[in-house]
Amino acid sequence: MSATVSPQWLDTPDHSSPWGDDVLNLNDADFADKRLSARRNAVKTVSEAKDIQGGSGYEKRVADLARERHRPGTLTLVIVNTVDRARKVFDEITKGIKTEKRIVERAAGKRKAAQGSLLAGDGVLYPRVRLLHSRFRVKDRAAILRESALSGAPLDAAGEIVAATQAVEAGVDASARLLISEIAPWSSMVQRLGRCSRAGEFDPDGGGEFVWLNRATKNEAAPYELKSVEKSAEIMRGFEGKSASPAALESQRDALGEAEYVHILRRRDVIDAFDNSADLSGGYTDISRYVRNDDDKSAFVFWRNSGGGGDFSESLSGQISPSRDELVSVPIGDFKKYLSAKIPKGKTARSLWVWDFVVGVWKKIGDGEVRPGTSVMLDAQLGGYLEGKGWNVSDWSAVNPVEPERGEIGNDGHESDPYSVGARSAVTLSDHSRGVEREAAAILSALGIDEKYPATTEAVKTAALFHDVGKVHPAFQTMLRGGEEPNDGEEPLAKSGVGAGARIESERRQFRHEIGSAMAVLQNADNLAEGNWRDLAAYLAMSHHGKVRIRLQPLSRGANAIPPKDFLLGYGVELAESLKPVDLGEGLECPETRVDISSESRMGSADGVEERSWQDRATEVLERLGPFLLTFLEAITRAADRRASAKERSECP
Amino acid sequence: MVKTLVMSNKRIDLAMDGCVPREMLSYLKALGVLKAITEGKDKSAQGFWMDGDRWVVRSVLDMDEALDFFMNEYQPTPIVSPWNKDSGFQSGGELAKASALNRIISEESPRFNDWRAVCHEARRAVEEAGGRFDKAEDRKNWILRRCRNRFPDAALEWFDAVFVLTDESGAKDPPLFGSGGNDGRFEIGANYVAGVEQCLLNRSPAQSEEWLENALFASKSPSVKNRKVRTVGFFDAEASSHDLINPWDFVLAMEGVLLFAGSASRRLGAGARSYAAFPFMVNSSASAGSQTVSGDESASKSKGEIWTPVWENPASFREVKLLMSEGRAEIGGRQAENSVDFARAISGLGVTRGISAFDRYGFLERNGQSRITAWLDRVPVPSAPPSASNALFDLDRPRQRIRNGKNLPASIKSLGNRLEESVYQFAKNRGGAASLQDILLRVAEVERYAGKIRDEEKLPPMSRFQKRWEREADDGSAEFRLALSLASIVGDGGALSIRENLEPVTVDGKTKTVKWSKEPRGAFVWNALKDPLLNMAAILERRCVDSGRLEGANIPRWTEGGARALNT
Repeated sequence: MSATVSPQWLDTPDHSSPWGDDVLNLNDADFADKRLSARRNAVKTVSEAKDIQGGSGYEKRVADLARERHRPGTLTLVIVNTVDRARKVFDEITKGIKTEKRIVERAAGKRKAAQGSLLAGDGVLYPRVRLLHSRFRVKDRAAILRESALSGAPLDAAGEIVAATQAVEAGVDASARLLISEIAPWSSMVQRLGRCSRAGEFDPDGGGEFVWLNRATKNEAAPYELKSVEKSAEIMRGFEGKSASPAALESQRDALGEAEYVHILRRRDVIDAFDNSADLSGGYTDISRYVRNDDDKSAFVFWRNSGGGGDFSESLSGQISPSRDELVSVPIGDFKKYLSAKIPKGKTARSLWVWDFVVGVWKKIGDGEVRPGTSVMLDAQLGGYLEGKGWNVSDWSAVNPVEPERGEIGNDGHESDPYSVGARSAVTLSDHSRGVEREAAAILSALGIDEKYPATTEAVKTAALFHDVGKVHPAFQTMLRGGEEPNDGEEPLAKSGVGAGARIESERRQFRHEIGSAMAVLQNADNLAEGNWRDLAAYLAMSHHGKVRIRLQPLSRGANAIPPKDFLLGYGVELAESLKPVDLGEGLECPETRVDISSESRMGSADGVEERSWQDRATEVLERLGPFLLTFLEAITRAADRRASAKERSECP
Repeated sequence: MVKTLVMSNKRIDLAMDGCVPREMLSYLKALGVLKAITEGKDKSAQGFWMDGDRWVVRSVLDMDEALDFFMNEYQPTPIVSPWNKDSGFQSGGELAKASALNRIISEESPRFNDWRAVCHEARRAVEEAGGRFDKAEDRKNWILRRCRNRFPDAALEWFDAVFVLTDESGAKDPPLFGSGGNDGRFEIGANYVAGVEQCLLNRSPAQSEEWLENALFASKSPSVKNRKVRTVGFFDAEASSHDLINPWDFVLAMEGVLLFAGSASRRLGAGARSYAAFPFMVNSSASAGSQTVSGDESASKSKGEIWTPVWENPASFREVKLLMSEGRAEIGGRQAENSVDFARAISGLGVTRGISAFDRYGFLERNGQSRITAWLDRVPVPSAPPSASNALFDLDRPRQRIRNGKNLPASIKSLGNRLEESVYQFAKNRGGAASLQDILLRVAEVERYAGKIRDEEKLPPMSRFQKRWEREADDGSAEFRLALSLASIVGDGGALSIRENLEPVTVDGKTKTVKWSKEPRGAFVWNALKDPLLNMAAILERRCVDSGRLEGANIPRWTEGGARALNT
């Protein structure tokens, strides 16, 4: 049960709204429970702060209200609708307390002089003040939360005042005695009310206080729509002087209104989106409209030290991908402001850097090229972030970068294969193949899939066993051996040891070993009947890096270049290539495999032959299993590979 | 006439001579037939253009079975456009069409199950929109969004073929179907409904079958006696708009149209300009390669182009769908956005492998009303990219400046068109030195006129061409060697680059940066009206005068690309 969801919202073409026994409601026994009833009937007295109007000095008035009505030992929460206002309110509260302190201390000093006593003035308590919004680095935000009563940290005798944005609406289990909030759409107001005397903690002392600020005017409603806040203000007025307890709010469920139909994700869209080839080759699919319902598009930023020069020229290739802790979510529109901020003396021009997945390099982009959801690297020397305040384009003081987690891999690009060259010591192909097969079997068994779906199990295990067969290709073996061709009789490797590994020879750039592996399954996995199950296993082998899935097509070589015609994803187009037999351990040998990249990558079947192209096979597998089941099996195969690789690393001396 | 060509694996190759390439209607019909047979009869059916010209469907159906399938089993995709006035859903619209719709949904036959569900949702959308909107546009947008969110899956392709819903500005129309399924004032969906009624609920099935046979196999002389179904310009450039048409032609072509629905990855792709959301649709770049446009061009406005792929290996409908959903035409790391770049994408093999050629059609708008689609050209996919393809990237920026330049003189714009044309011909005709030289001549023309305005912002002098031009444009002729020899007087050792004599430019001795010269006549002595020899003499004279202060460096005795009179 949620106070902010209307059951009717669940009604979509794929899923009609539930009714009858499908809906689980609270019953009388539930209502009789004390813990529940304390929450349902918690007193939160509503009042409108009519004397606080917008305009200049607004934030100070809000701050003063919070300070004056704050009670020692409790939490006071001020929620405003924009980050900017939250910062100002925070500043004003801090300033107000400082002034007060000074006055009190001065008075105490006089008294002290008069009475010769230290007592007076010592009894005054000043609450801690904190700022919380969405423009903090994940790590910093977590640190603020950790110390705050918002996440259950104990309050001292003075208590705490938090200035926040709607970022605290969801996922924060805090209970404020006094909650001051700007008007917001009704579902948000319900969330905010829920943070006031949450479990009726303040009922013995007269209950929680919920003071709201009316901003339902044309100029002040942003970022919300005027209509929706007007409606909300009307409901709030109905509660004036009364308690808006959850029980009282239940009657207002209709106010949540009809679902605002914006974008519903349809089956057709899901199936389309399964094929990510467009993104793999440098395109970009923006799914944010299905994830969030506000219009603000945002991207992430993180800071790194450029090592001088301001443009990372020295240290670019050494930058690994960011970890979550480093990221701040920033509205797309702010990038322009960031770049165009006036450059102070002693600083150089700012720039934006993103990882180009296709080519495998960091590249500099303009503010117009920032896409929602991407991570943008900024130079720590050129500011943009203030400790305790968050994202701030006009600040140029050096940012202290969060140390990225030193994972064992660097950045992933289309041509790279960090897992193959990152092992501590060399691993043979047969050992690795069996290792991954074991891990796959373990996962399937833990999930109970092996007993229920033996054929699927066999297909996944086969994919696991064959997934790296394509690595037997001489070009790949040479790459793993740091550029030296393997000697006759030398066992093929799956992973190179420390320091080994070179770039693959240039005409075979974009070489993907998975293609050879998938062909090996199709031609040589005799344990599976030809057709459906073998096709599935081949697909899982092909997709185990997520880089080649439905289509075999040349990847862009970046701007201003036409890919060479003789090679496609590293394989010769003119003549089919053949892969040597591979020892898969336990006495099993995968015989020679033919890779005919030309006919596999072509649309349609070759003349007179019943051979199918890869895309025909792959789309049929997708059609048969559907996107979710297929993704699930892909994930199992991938996880098995990762686990086996992790074990190889830890078992090595 | 024997239509059955080969029997392989109990599968029959059925040539459909009613579907010919180079006609939009026929092309779409071919796709529609494959879609219908795959969805309704044989999941492994395949289709291909034999020798690039003859549509063949390989499936379990022979000719009679195919006719029987379409007459008795085929379930037409429900296509309705309740957002349009004459769709049969809105009050005040044309009601005759609604009666066809009513007939279809009151049929008991399971063939029309989807139709009932779609019409139900369409009516609800219109009813609920009711009078709650002040502006007609808001109401339409609400209905559109509602339809996209609530239509049964079967009807979504039509929606995605005629609209792309954007986050910012509501709905956008693709160039393909006029505005949201209207051709001028003609409602396409309602016409389709009338077609379905004529084909499947005809009081004389024999008549319908005769039409069908003609539509698929071109077997009988067309005797179009229906009084209801008309063509639209999009399908047929020849027929004057809204002529009567064989209803089966229309119905099957509409099935084919659905393949041009924008896929999620295109709709949600970066930018999602309305064209980019739809496969194989690009801006037309000037008139490049399109001298063959029929009709009076003066009265027509180009509304973009569509390039339809032709393949010769049997491909399943799955593969065709994938081909269309991707609509790949990549050149230098980006999708082609205009016809010249589409031709370059083809020659650079930036298209799906297995396509043998593209037919290029232009959308033209006539008198602000209906649109026609005219076949313009066929561009084959080569087996290898022309060797000089990479050189052409040097022209991308200047070409773009000329195309998009707002305040450029008409003379430069029109020379820009000639340049576009030469690049198009290069791509289409697989390059070659002569073709590349032609491009260079066009570049020089543009440059000469650009030298008259000398605007560094609008159109700086062309520069920084890759060395490969020298090699690739060399046709072995004496003229080329002579030209190269002169051009390679690049001004080393304090001497002037010969460009400064030929054009009003300055060339920085060190960085080789070329800029328009501030003073109109410095070293620039070339006079286009004079004989070239006299011009060369003038250049020599000028350089001799200058060389006094340059200590002789200005008279080159040797150039990098030197020519000798030996092997002419």
